[in-house]
Amino acid sequence: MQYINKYKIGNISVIIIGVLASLIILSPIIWIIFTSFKSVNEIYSIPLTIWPKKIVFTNYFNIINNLPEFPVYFFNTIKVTLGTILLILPLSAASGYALARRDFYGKGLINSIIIAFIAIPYLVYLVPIYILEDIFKLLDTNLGLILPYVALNLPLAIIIMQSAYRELPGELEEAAYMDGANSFQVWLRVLTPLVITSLAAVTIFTFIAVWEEYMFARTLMIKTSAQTLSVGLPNLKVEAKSWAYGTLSAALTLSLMPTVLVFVVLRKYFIEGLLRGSIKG
Amino acid sequence: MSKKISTLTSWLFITPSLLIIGTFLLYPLVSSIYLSFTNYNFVYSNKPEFTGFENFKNLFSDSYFIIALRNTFYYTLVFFPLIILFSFLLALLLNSKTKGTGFFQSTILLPIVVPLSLAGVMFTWILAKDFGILNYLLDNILKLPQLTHFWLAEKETALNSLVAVGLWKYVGFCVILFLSGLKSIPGDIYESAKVDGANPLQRLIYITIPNLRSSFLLVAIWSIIQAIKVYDQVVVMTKGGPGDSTLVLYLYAWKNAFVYFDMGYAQTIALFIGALAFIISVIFNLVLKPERK
Repeated sequence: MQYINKYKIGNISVIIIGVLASLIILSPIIWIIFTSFKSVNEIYSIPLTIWPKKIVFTNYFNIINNLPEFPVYFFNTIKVTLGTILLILPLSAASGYALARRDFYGKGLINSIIIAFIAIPYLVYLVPIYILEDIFKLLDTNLGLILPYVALNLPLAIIIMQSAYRELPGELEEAAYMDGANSFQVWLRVLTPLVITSLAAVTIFTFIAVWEEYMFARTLMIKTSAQTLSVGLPNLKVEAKSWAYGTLSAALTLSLMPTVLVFVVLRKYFIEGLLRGSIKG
Repeated sequence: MSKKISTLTSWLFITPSLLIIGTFLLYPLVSSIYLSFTNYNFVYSNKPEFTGFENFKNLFSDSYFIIALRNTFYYTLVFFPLIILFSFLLALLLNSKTKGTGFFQSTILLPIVVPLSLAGVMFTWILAKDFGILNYLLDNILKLPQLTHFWLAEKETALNSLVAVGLWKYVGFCVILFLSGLKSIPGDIYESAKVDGANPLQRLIYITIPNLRSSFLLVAIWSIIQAIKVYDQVVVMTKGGPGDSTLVLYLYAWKNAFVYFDMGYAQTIALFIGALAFIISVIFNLVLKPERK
C-alpha cells in the first residue's frame, strides 16, 4: 500500500515537472503563433494579451501582398534541402558500402581522412569555399549551397552508412554473387534495402542541418532571390519597422510549420537520426 | 573476379564522394592553412602575399581577438554546466515509466527543428524592451520591475540572453543523449541495490552517475564545442554589441573575412578555433575515458 502511494507521488511529480518544462520550452513558439493572429494595435498595446482578443488574418494577408520575398526564401530552402538529401543518400550509401564490405588499396587512409573531417569546425572551410564559388560563378545559386552542404554532411553520413552495411551478414552477398549478380546489383538490390533505417537517419540529420544552416547561407547567398528562410527572415526583421512583429510572427509561424509537422509525424526517426548524428564536430 | 577489377569497382563506388570531399573540404582545409600564413585582401589584392607567422603573432596582441576569446569563454562557461545540469535532471525525470513521458520528450526536443537564426528573431521579440513579453511578465504580473532589462542592449544581460537561446534550442537534444545512456544501464543493478537497501539518492550517486560516464563525456564535449562555435543567434540578435560585449570568436573571424576582407587573418582565427575544439575533445577523452575500466 505504501509502495503504491509512493509510486503515485512519483508519477504526479513527473507529470507536473514534465508539463512545466514543456510549457517553458514551447512558450516562445506559442507566443509567436498567438501574436501572428493579433491586430497590429493589439500587439503594441499595454496590457499585453496572451490569447488574441480578436483573431485576425491581416498579418498573413500582409505576407501575400507585401512580402514577395517570403515564398522565394521558402522555395529556395526546400530546393536546397531536397537537393542536398538527394545527393547525399546515394553518395553515402555507395561509399559506405565500399568501405564496409569491400577490400581495396587505400581504404584505411580514406577512412581516417573521413573521420578527421568530422571534427573540423565549418568556419575553416568558409573563406576558401567563397573564393572557389566566386571563381566558378556558384555564388547566389542553389547549387552553390547544395554542394558545400553535401560535402559538410557527407563524412558523418558515410560513417553512419558504413556501420550499417558492416552489420549485415556476409551470406547474402555470397548467395547473390553465386546467382551471377554484379557488385552494383549486390549493393543496390541486395544490401541497400536492408539499411533503409540508416538512410532515414541520414536523411533526418541532413534535413535538420541544412534547413537551419545560417553561416554558409548568409555568406554565399548575397542576393535576396537566392536566400533561404534562415537568412532571409532575420533580414526582414531589420528592414521593415512599420508592420514589424505582426507580419514577422506570421512569417515565422509559416516557416516553422513544415519542420514541426515532419517532426511530429516522424518523432521516433528523429531521435534515432539525432543520436547517430551526435558525434558531429 | 580478379583483384584488379574488384579494386577498380571499389574506387568507382567511392570516387564521387571523394570528389566532393576533395573539392569542398580537403582543398579548402589546405587552402585555409596556406592563407593563414599570408596577407590576403580579397577585394584589393590579386593574390595572397606570404607573411610567415605574422598573423599568428598578431593574434594575441589583437585586443579584439582577446575580447572575442573572453566572450566565447564566458558563453561556454555558462552554457555547458547549465545544459548538463538541466538535461541530466530532465532525463532522470523522463526515464521513469510514467505515461506521457514520450510526449514530454517530444515537446522538449521540438526546438531542435527551429533554426537557431529564427529562434533569434523570436527571442528578440520576446526580450524587447517595450512590448516584449518577458519584461511585461516581470513588471506587471510578477511585480518585479527591478528585474526588467533592455535585455539585448545592456552589456550585463546581452551575452546571457544569447546563452539562454542556446539552452532553449539544445536542452532537449542533450536530454535525448542522456536518456539513451540511461536506457543502457541494466535494470537488475537497481533491483539488487534496492534489495540491499540503497535509497534513491544512493542509487543515483553510486549506480546512475558512474554508469553514465560516457554520456556525460559526450554531452560535455558536444556542448563545449557547440559553445565555441556560437554564431547564428549572435548575428541575428546583437551583431556583437552592445559595444563588444557579445563579440564571439566565430563572429570576429567572419567579420575579418567579409567585412574587413582580411582573409589571411580570418583563417588564422578559424584555425585557432579548430585547434581549440580539437584540444578540448582530446583532453576530455584523456581525463574521463581511462576511469571507465
